[in-house]
Amino acid sequence: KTREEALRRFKAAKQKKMNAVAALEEKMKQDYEERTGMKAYVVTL
Amino acid sequence: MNSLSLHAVNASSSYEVSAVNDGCYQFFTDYGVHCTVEFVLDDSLLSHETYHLVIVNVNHQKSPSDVKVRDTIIAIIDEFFVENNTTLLYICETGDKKQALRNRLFERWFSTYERKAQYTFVASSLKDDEGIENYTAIIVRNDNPELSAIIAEFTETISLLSSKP
Repeated sequence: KTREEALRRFKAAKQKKMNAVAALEEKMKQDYEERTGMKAYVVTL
Repeated sequence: MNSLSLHAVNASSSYEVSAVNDGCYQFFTDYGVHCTVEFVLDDSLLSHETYHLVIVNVNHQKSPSDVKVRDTIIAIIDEFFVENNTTLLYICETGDKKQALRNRLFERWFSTYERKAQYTFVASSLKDDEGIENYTAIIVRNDNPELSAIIAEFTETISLLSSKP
């Protein structure tokens, strides 16, 4: 690989994780609001 | 990804674990933390089958140090590797600039894992093109037939990222 290719791959992997967190956050917010009727933010480790 | 056996996880975890959906598991702590552990397929960084380890404090509940959280997360990861002889990738969240703290915590957790000798753990840090310090690690079972190639590819990628542009 070149450095540019490695950087592109790393940033794509990091984005993939961030997208997963965002999707989970949205699901949990919806679940919470449906369950309680109240507005639900999250912290990622 | 092969599903985890909740029965096996709960046999050794400190908190009761349930499934949110396929690949995502949750538990609630004594201090009111709602924690999820998710395995997300990554098709970007490595050419071998790799899953992100994504740990989320869903309700943003602050908590004192809780060894039962570590034990529960380790029980989930342990079962992941029983069912999946693949690569686990951990990239520390950087949005709040606490990535070094997360990295130390993760490395400390792994160092206390009683079966760590059965795994290869490779951790590294690197600055991206925005100057952000990133901490990342992979965990691979030692009996993975692709172990050497996986480690070589990961270390090559990190070396390239650590080199001057």
